[in-house]
Amino acid sequence: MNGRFLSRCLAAPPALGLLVLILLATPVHADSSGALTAEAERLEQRLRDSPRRLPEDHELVVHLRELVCVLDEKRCGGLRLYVLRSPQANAFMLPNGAMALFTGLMLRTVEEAELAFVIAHEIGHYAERHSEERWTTLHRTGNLLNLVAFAAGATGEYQAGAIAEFGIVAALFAYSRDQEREADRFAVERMTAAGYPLRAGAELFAGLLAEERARPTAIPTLFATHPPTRERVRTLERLAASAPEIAVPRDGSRWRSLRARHLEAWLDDELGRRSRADSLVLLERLERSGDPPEILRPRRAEILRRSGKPEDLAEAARLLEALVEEGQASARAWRLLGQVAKARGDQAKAREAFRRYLELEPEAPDRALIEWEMQ
Amino acid sequence: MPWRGEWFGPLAAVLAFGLVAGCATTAPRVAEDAKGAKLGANAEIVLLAPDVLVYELPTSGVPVLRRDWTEQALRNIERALGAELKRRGARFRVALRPPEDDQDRARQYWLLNRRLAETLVDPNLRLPHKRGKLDWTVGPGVRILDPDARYALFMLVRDSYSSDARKAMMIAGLFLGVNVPLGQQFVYVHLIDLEDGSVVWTNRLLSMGGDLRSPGPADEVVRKVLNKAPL
Repeated sequence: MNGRFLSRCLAAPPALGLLVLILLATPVHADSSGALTAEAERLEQRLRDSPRRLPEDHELVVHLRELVCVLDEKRCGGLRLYVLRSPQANAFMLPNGAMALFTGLMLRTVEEAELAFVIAHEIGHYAERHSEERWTTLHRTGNLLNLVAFAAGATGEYQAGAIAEFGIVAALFAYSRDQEREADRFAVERMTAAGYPLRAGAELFAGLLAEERARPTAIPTLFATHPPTRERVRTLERLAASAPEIAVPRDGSRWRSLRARHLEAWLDDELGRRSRADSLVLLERLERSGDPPEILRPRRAEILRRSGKPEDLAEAARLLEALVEEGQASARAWRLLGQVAKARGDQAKAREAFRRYLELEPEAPDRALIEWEMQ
Repeated sequence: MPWRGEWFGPLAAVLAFGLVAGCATTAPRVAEDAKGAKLGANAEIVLLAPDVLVYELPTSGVPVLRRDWTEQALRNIERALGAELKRRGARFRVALRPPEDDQDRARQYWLLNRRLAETLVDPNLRLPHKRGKLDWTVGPGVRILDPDARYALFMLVRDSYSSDARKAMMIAGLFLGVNVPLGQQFVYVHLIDLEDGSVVWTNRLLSMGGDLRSPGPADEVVRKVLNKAPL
């Protein structure tokens, strides 16, 4: 037994004892809730300042604010809504009642009921004070990790410390899954009360799950801070199946017409993500859900064209030519067809497609470029 | 993936700042004007509201934003900036409050200054094609911040101080060879030429000391970070 080990052993009990005393004497910070409020207010100011935020009187913001009140009349007066133009499929709520909704999510919610599910889910997090719980958990976990580190330091077993940390981190996320389930339950209740079909939640999640699976870098399940989507889909499907028939379903036509007006812009944002597999999965799903093929297919073709691979170019040409045959080809489709044909070495077809493009769009800003391409 | 309370990210960023080890280091970068002239001599400066956040580091190590400490630090920094410029004999004007109205163009330029600062301090956002050269501009519209001054000075401060319990824990840790990191201070400053919006000088200071909550040390921190400023 060497001297260093001995001195560690002698120092360990008082040092650990001291640490336990310190940790017992300090309150967990969530209880002094001012800190969490300060952080939330800072983040809300960032939302307010965001260049991506849609103005208060924007038709989408106005409609979504109404939707929040339909879902939770009691709380809607105290909630502040921020709609951000961003291709992310995201929504979140700060513990002070500020809610952020991203247009990337709205692109994916074809029916108002799907969007209502997400909003109700977020109100659920707020109503159940989940942020406060997470805040407490975060501090408790930090303190626990210190104990582990000290214990590991005392025995010289640093590796043991690292392994224990892993276990605690996993436990933190498992806790969070319970919160997601709670928020889902809240959403189901509010949806039913408002007259929205429950299968909407399951359908949205099934769609998101398909996108997630297509993504090249999937996040391992262990680190997901929300329940595995497959499990959520199943739970929601079960709930929907056992739910009573809705007497007067809510009319979602206003959402459909609003969404149709912004669809092309949101799709272009999605293309701006420069992602391939998951974007293709999304566009195919939207077409199955009834979004117009003449809007979706040129964008699918554009994603395929980017790779430049012969098989992708062939598929892009097939999509675009189908539109031409159906008489649905837009100026954008013709332009793209020209580019695809050129990339495939078919000069005659490219020239013809470009000619049709300029015919439909005589004032095209890229006219000079296209004319040069035609030579 | 979808919706969850996304307010842990910024906390993680503050933690990441804390990982950058070391005592006080400054890293000034200067750009010359088109004729290679010495900048700033005798020019009037407008002081923009600094963006300051001061956190408490409790035993858990999760930073907690302290509004009271932030207010104290902000007051001390504003005062120290004025004192330092006066000491150098520089002419300056104070525009220390960011305008509230978010449609206000002056506020938009304040936000743009902050975004620029955040971009310049984040190593992940370093643009390779700049090749380390200080070659940034917010555009000539920045003139709106002041009709007469030549330069605008902007400061970004992220600071954290350990709670007493954490300090005690650090001492306990010494006996066991366990390292308990304490608070860290990060101060960044840049000068914008209001003629064309270009960034003419930046500096940053990473340290463990200089308590900004009290006036004396705050003066010292401000003097240190402005030490080589071309004013």
